[in-house]
Amino acid sequence: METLEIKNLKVAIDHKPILNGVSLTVAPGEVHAIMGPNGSGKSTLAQTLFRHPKYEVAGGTMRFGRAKLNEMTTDKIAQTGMLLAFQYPQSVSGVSVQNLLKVAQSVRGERVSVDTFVKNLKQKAKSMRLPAEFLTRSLNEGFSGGEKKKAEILQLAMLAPKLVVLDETDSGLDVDALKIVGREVNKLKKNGVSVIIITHYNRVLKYIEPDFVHIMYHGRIIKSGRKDLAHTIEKGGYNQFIKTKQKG
Amino acid sequence: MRTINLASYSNQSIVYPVVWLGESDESLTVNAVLDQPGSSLKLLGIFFGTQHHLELHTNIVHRAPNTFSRTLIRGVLDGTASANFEGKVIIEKGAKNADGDLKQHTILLSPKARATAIPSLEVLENEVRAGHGATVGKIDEEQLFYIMSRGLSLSEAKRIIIQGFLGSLLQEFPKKETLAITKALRL
Repeated sequence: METLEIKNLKVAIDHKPILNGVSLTVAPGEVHAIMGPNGSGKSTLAQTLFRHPKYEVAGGTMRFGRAKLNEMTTDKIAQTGMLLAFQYPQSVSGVSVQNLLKVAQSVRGERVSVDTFVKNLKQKAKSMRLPAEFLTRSLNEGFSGGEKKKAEILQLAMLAPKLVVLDETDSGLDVDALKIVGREVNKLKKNGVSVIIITHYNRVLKYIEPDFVHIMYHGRIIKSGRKDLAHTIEKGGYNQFIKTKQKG
Repeated sequence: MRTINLASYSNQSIVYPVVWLGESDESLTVNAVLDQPGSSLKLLGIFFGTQHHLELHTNIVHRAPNTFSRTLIRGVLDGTASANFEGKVIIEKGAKNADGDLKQHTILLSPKARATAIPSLEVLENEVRAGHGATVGKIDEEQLFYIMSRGLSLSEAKRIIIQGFLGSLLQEFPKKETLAITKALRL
């Protein structure tokens, strides 16, 4: 398994700086939560890790094991085993989850027969309480918020990931769906998969226990700690850290 | 200019498919007058080309009550291909409870491919449902990013998006055309 190493990452959109030097190391099997107020750069970090063309890397390095992410395209990054669960999953007319995953698996050179693959997919969907029809319908078209997020986790789980980034997967989920998502992510973790959870809220961390919690603000990680940091945030909000930071 | 005039039949549904695969310049007008109560028409079009020009005009008139029409056209243009689509839906006075809708979407794959779409709607009766919309554009960058984040290359991602884009309309085509298009486009 590989370690993700982000060093002094600087990112801009249309020359406007969004990330101002983010460093983060995620060892195999670790769970890191990245929290912070709106606009602090959390989702930018997620999308930049997967080299969304909108984000210009202005400095710093990103590595996953020996793979230099700075120099790679989105598809090649996915092929290293890094996978992203989207905050806003795209709807794609005429392309189903089953369809997409079949192509994705063949690209990865996995020699699973179509029958076995479909059987596994159906089983996984059932265990996540996602009706089988979702597998053959157009991706995310007419899916509810919760169904979209479940379908994201389903896709990740089927693609044998080594590291998953969950970009606000918890927002818009009811408690039942949150439990299901939590259970699936914990299964991945057990298998040594690293997890980065981007979230506003503490409640997801009840189901997926983080090893480390980081607070992002103005494109920087201004505080890192163990899981009790999340409780401190819940009690006193982000302001306590932001003020300290400004004084210092 | 080829012109096709479609007749309508009381309480019957007609599906009329239009296919252009870019083999030569083509100019086609499809007219339909829904003058029989309860008549229904689905005018379906798929076009795909890498060169030549398609001129496609559709005119659908709702004259009788309870008539229903859908004009659904999807196209993909690559290379130097071009298309101009002018689609009209007219709901005349007296066509009570008519339901007419027109949608046209074109994806441009190359900077030299061109497309224009002029949808129009004329409604002269009150108790009706009517709508129209048209888009021309490149493949959405966010869609590409999404698909590529599952490990598909840029060209694979484009292919699967286009297959889906045309395929979801193709499902509504009669079998004969479906086979021909599937074969031609290797869908």
